[in-house]
Amino acid sequence: MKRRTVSLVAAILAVLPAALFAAPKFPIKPVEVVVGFAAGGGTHLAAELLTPEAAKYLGQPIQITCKPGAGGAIGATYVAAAKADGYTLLYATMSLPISLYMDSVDFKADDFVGLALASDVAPLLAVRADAPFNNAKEMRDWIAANPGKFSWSHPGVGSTLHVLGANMLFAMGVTKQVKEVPFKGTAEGISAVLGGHVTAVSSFPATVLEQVRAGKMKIIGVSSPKRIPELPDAPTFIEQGYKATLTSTRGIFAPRKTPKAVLEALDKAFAQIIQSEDFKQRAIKLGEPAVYADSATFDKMYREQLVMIEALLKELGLSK
Amino acid sequence: MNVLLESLNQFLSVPVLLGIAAGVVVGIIGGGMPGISPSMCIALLLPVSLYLPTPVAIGLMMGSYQGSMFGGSISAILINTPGTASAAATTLDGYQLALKGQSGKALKMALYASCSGGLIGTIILLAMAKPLSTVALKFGPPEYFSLMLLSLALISGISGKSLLKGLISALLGLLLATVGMDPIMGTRRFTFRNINLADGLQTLSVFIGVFALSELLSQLSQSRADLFRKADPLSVSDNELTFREFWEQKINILKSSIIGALIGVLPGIGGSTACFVSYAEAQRRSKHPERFGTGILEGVAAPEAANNAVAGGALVPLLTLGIPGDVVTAILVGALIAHGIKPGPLMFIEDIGTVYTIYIALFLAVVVLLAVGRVGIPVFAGVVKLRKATLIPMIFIICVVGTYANRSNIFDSMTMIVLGALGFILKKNKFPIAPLVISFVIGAQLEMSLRQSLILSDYSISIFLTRPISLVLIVGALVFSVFMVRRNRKLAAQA
Repeated sequence: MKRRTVSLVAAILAVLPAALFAAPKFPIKPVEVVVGFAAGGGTHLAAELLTPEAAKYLGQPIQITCKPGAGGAIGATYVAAAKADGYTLLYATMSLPISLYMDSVDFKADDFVGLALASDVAPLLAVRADAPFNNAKEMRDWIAANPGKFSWSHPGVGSTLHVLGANMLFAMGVTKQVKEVPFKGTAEGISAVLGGHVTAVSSFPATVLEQVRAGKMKIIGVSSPKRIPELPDAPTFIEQGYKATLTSTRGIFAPRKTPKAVLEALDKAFAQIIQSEDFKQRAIKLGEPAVYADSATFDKMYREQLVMIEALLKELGLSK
Repeated sequence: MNVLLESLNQFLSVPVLLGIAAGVVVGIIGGGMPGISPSMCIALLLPVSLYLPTPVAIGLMMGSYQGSMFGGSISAILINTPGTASAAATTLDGYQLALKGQSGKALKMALYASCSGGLIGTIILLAMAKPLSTVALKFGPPEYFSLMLLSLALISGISGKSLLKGLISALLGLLLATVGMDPIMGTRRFTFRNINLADGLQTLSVFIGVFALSELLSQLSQSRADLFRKADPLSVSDNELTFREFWEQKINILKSSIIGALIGVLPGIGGSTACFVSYAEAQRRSKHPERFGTGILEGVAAPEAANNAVAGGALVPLLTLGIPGDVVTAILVGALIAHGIKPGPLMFIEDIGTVYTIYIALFLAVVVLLAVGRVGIPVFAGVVKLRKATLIPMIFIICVVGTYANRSNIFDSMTMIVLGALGFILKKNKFPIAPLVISFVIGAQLEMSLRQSLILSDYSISIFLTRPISLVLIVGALVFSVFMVRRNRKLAAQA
């Protein structure tokens, strides 16, 4: 009996150091990245860019799970409530900070820590090519001269393009004179603009690029600090004298309570994945800019966005 | 012509044909499994397709598009569970045929109607893409609203014997459609602070709940002996589909395919509406409308032709305008872009080769679907040989997993169960189920376009009457409503 106890203690002592060493080893199973949008959509495709190199740099594959709904809030709720062990991460857009201030959600801003910036896209305002105005100033004058005639569309209340579009119109000082018509998606909105049912659409460049190239639509302004490479001829709002420079960022978030060592391992892996040549190639093919910021920088960006969006929504009259 | 031959040449290679075949098989399996929608099928194939040569990738996707549209009918017919939203209308008669021991016949009708529909849809795409896209752009919010109103009027014909009970059921469907975020103001309605209801009840949960689960509950109320009895061996002759039976449906299939393709052209409406509308139209034109819903081939042919024709239609705005016509084509856009192809208004001018590639892929997908379906049907039909005591728990698991898989969200399975109970209570009290489901499907679009129109018109209803297309559709809706009420009165008087 005694001998047994001794050998048991010895066994435990022998295993213990191994167990202690084993503890910080991460990851030992696939990492799930939750996308709060429908499978096959733009956000899902952008998240899929992460998967091919994951095993190489992270040591384990990344599994993308789509939990669509409530403008991404269902996915965010799921990750906020998941075990903070680094195996459940969130791939989120700007709708994360937006939902915190526009919607009643069951997660808090502090539930997440930014891990890596993976994409940064500038929104724009586009109209039909034969619209009687060509730039922001002419549009403003036209709206003033034709009250109740201007309408614009966005893909749903609380969507990133809704807030960013509202911000562009706010910067031009026309919020009160325009009609807002939400559609189910940007495609429906563009179709309504082409058909002449709605005047303008708040969109990302990729969706209207071909329409512009075909001469069916024109860009009134881009909300970005400087002109974007896809549309070098399209002026920004800021160069036309209107203060709309807000872009839409996408990136990976982890629950804030995740152990530090795990966060560091993930930070390092995502740095390698997103900055790899293969990732860049695939991103460009998909029309995504190849941008990156590490955890410290991205988390700071997230914090700044929270403050900015809270103030913006209040100003736009959209906060809850 | 040269380009066409070149594109055709690309297809006469083994990898491309294999790609199409693989797509069709994956599509049939995915479509047959509730929860894996056609769009999810394509989304799942997307990462793979990025590593394939462009024609193979396009073949794979077109194959799975056509395959999944047919696949949905398999579970709809055999277990009353629509595998895809577009197959919901197929359950109405398809499952009744299966109950009569004619599942093989129903599946074959579905397959041939699907292939014919796919073919007609492709021909419409080929011949009329340009003019159709011009018409599609003329449809603004008021036209969408009037079209939905017309659909609702047409579909009211499916309401069954009692007009009152049909109306109650339809109103219940409209009520269910109001759950979720207000499409214009963004406020939450009937969500009880549950974020999972923010986007409303999931269509799949409604379909599977009220169709499949309510049927399972009804079957459970049978005697023990019935549940454990071995299914009757089916007589082969009765389970075959003769050419004559198929040929009798030619007008029905043609008309349903046209309806499917035309509704497919309009961005955002979707396959299930197209199927219900063509089902209702088939019933309206039928010599024996009262037999619809009791298990007749017309009721299978119409929706199945329509949903495959939707594919051709949905590609019209994509190829001519660069605007995806439905969720599947939206995903296709992503895939094409990743292959360096830019869908847009210039595609016909700059990249006609790709346009032909898509046409040919769609066409070959139909041919492959025919072959794969022929081989597969006897295998699928084996399901009905199982005893109910074995089958019912299996279907229940499929219902739960299917509704979960849709959004990876268990909440959707729970709503399915609640809706199943609702469907069971309605059925027990002789309320027809179809109007509920249909008005649920149409309700959201109806509300959205009504309110969009009213914003544009400063809340004046004249917008619906001053625009010619809208006016014609509204008059049509009124005429059909009067017609339906009168026919219903007549039927009631006969009974």
